[in-house]
Amino acid sequence: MKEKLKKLLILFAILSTVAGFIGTHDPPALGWHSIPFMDAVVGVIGALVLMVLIKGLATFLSKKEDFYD
Amino acid sequence: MTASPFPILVIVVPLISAFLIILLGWLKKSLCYPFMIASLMATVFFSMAILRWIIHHGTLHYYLGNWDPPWGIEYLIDPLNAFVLVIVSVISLLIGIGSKPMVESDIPRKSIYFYCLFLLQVTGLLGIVVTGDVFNLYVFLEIASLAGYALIAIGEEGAPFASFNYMIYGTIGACFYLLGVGYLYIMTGSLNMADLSKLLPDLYASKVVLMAFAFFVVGVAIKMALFPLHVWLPDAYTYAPSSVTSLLAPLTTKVGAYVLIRIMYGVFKPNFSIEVIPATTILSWMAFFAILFGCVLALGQRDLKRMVAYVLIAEIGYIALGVGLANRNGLLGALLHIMNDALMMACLFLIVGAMTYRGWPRQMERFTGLHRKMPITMAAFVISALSVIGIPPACGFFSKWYLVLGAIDAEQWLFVAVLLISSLLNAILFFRVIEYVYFEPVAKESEVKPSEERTKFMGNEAPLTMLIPIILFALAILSVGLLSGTIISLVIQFALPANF
Amino acid sequence: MIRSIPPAFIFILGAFFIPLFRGRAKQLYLLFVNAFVLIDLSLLEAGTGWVIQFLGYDLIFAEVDRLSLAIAYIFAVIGFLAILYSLQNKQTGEQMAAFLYMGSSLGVVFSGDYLSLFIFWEIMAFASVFLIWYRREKASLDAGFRYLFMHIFGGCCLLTGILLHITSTGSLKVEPLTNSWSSLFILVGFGLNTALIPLHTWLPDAYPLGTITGSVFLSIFTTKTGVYTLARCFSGNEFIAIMGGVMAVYGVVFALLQNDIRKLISYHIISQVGYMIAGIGVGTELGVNGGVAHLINNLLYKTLLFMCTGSVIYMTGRSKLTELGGLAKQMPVTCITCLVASFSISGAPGFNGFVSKGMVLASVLEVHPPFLELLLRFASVGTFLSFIKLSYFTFFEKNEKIRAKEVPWNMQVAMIVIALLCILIGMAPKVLFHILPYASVDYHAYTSSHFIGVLQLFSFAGLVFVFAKKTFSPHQWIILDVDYFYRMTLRWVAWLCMGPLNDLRRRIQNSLSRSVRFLIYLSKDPLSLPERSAEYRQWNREDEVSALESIGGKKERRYNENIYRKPMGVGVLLAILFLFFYGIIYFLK
Repeated sequence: MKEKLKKLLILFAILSTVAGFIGTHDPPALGWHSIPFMDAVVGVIGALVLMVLIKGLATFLSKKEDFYD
Repeated sequence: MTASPFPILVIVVPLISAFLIILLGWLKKSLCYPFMIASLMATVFFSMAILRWIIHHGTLHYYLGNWDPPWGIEYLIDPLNAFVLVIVSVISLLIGIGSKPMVESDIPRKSIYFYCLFLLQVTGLLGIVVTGDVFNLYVFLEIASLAGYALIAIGEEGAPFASFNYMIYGTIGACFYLLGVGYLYIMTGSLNMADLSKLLPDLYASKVVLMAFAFFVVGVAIKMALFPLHVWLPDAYTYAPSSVTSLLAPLTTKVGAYVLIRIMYGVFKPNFSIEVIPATTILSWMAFFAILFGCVLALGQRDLKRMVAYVLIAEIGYIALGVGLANRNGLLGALLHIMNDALMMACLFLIVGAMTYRGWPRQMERFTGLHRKMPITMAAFVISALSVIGIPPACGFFSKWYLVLGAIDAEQWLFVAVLLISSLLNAILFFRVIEYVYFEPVAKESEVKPSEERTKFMGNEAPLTMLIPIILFALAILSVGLLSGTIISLVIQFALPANF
Repeated sequence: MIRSIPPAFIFILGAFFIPLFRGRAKQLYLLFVNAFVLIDLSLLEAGTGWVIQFLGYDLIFAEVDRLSLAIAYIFAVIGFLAILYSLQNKQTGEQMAAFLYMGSSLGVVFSGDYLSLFIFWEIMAFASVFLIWYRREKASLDAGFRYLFMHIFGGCCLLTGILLHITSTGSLKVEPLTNSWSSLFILVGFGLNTALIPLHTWLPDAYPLGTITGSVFLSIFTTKTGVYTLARCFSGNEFIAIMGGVMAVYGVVFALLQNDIRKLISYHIISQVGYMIAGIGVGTELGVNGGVAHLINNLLYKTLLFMCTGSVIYMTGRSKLTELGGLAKQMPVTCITCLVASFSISGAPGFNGFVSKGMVLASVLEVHPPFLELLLRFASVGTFLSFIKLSYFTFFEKNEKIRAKEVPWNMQVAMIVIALLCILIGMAPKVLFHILPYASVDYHAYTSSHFIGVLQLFSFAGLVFVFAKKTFSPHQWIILDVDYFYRMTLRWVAWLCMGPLNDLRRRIQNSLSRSVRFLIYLSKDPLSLPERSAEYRQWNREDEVSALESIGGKKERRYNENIYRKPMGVGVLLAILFLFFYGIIYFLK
């Protein structure tokens, strides 16, 4: 299951990056929109940032389930 | 001009009935209750007639024995009196109807005396409201108080002692009031309220008059159970039988509030209370603490009746706050709240009475399963709770609306805060009870078995003679809320003391 | 003059007749009332109607324009589906509460003045708490209490704001507000329902603990009514826009940490509401359209999510991700509709979220600094990740221990219908654009850059998930939120009131009563005072306590009023003191 998912995702990743270069674009509204694979970058960095965040928050915000009782 | 005999009839009928009941009881006991109900209905009829007259014609004067004031006793009825009069008589009637089951079950041999005392109490209260003479007011005050002491003492263990305490305290209050009357008489030679209000302004600088005012206010505050003079109330109302509390709690304190308004803004002109001495400021701060104190202490109570007694103290705080704010919105709120609170408290205490009658204990934790056994009563409880908290369209919301507006007008932000915080506290109080009643999983072992013989009629629900008044009160709470606008425009705005 | 009735009244009145029906008839009645409301809505004409004079103000019960109609429509439609989902529910009280709740939400949407809005607002709070309490578990009862407490607090703030507003402007009409104290209070009041941070904690606290069907209703109305009121009164407010971004991220981060499936999607409500109010905060036509479009779409997929998770809990009895898994084959309909919802909420192309998220993002770009747009995109990443988490660990992760069947037909139909609607709007967004507040919608959803961009975002973020699955897996814990502060503070306050303050009172009272006794002794026999005072000190203490305890005799565990009862003398003393001070004040004047 996981293997199939991984293969699918890698396929999509490659396709979309390629498409990013080929396809027509809206005029870039802001500076960084002009990078062709900006969304991919945001995706990766965002995911990584989230990982760090939740690991960090979990260390001091997570408690046993009956904390309030 | 004696335009209508109703003012005197509204006193005389219950008074004479009270004594006739004893005779009647000697002849045939079962006639007492219907007779009492009949005389109460008569008083309701008279008070409604008076109200109608007032709306069409204005103030009503009635001279006792046709002696002209200020030498004779005058009954002066203006929209304020009429308003309170109707409230007192209607609630007395409904409570009277609802008192039968408790009387028949707890004190069957003395029921005659109960009905007699009940009527005397009602007479006293009506008299206080109707009269226009300060000393006459004292007479009726004493009648009402004495009847009240006796009624309270009938209750359960602890009641005689609580009544004794109340008696001492209440007598002190009445004495203070009498001293006030005495001082005014010395200074002005008059006992008539309208006359006094004309004579007094010249004497405002006099120390005697100032002291008289102080005595009046403290005496009435004792009767009204305004913090910190409320000490008698929780015990007296908790240990008294529920039908007695249902009569006294809504009415005595509200009538006390009425007397306060009369004295502060009627006999003594408003500017006296506001400018000459800071009576209103003191009053509003006392009210502030009353509200806080009542709500906070109610939180610690396990006994439902005692909790409602403390909520009553907080409600009296609202009325006093409205009076103390001394602006139009505040007074509108206070007057509206007199009516609303009377309805709410009557309903709540009657519900507690119904529960006790069916054998339920008063401890909140033992209420599990109550909503299935007494669904209608509990629905009425929820409606009263909504009103106390201040959720529209129940009537409590509208008086709170005006009180908060009044506090904003006076730019007293602390009072605004306390009014809203008390809503929150009331919500906790009542929803806690609602939670116990509706949602606690029913535990098998601790399920209370109501006493057998009382569950025969209509199963476990409150008996019909109690259920009907409860339902009527609940409906009244909702409809009075929706009709607040009409009530204000027809009656209350004319009931405001002059200059507001 | 409006001919048709404000729909609020139909539901509210309808609620009281529910107990009269049983079984099939009751189910038909419930659906029928809702259908009736839908018809009524289609007959409503734009404009102001149902104006009633009360207390000197105009109460407007039917202020109908495109904004209120749009929201009312979606409420009615989704309400119908929610009722369909809950048909098997036997608890009449809960259904009555749901009707009151739906009716009062519609009442808020159509109110033209603050007083009627407030009336309906309070009825909403009061009715919705029963949907939580009907679960009857201890945790739910407690959570319901906290929910009620917070909502009444919000209601009080709202009332304060309204009253301040009246005294300063004299008008009750609901219209955009300017900065002032009154708007601040009103904002707090509206904001609590909308779950603005830090007023949001009631949502993840109470929604997971409601009944299966109750939570579905809860997720629909409270927050979205809040969004509607913000759209009415605070549209174009910069604070709202930024708060939207903050909420979007906050919700998503906390959602990723959760173990309970309904708590996860409750945090997502916060995140999605963030998107809505970001659009509204921008204030342009596109922004408000986007916010409202997002509201409509969100109602569809969010309700679907609550329905799916509700189904899972209903059939397995478990709600924690750590205990779930392997349900894909056993509950196929639930699984597929959940996937549809997950794609919709993430904004995958072909589903409705893609359209509205795009609108909000585009509008934000027009007006605000890029930071906000970045926040929203970041939140998108998080949304996608958390829904992979939800779907995977509920349906696909291997779990030998669970056996479950598919849910009853009515729940399946409701879920399938919503899923179809999501796809429909996603494919043909014109359907949605038709009812948005600003009629001319100049937005093209399926630009290739957007399409491709979203695909890139998903695939790369998804890859990170797959490779770092361990970090994202659920754990058996709870995550503290801002409510930590309230709950600990209030516990401490309660302890303070019960313990030390009562002790203080008792001490004061004891010393007062001692002084009274002393005075009594003094008056009895002044000459022998010196002798007596020595004796007096000794037996005073035991005597007092036993005297108090012998009164009444009822001993209760926690609050024994006999201990705290004041002896009468204290009362008299207070009266005399009071009089004395009163008198003194006069003489000083």
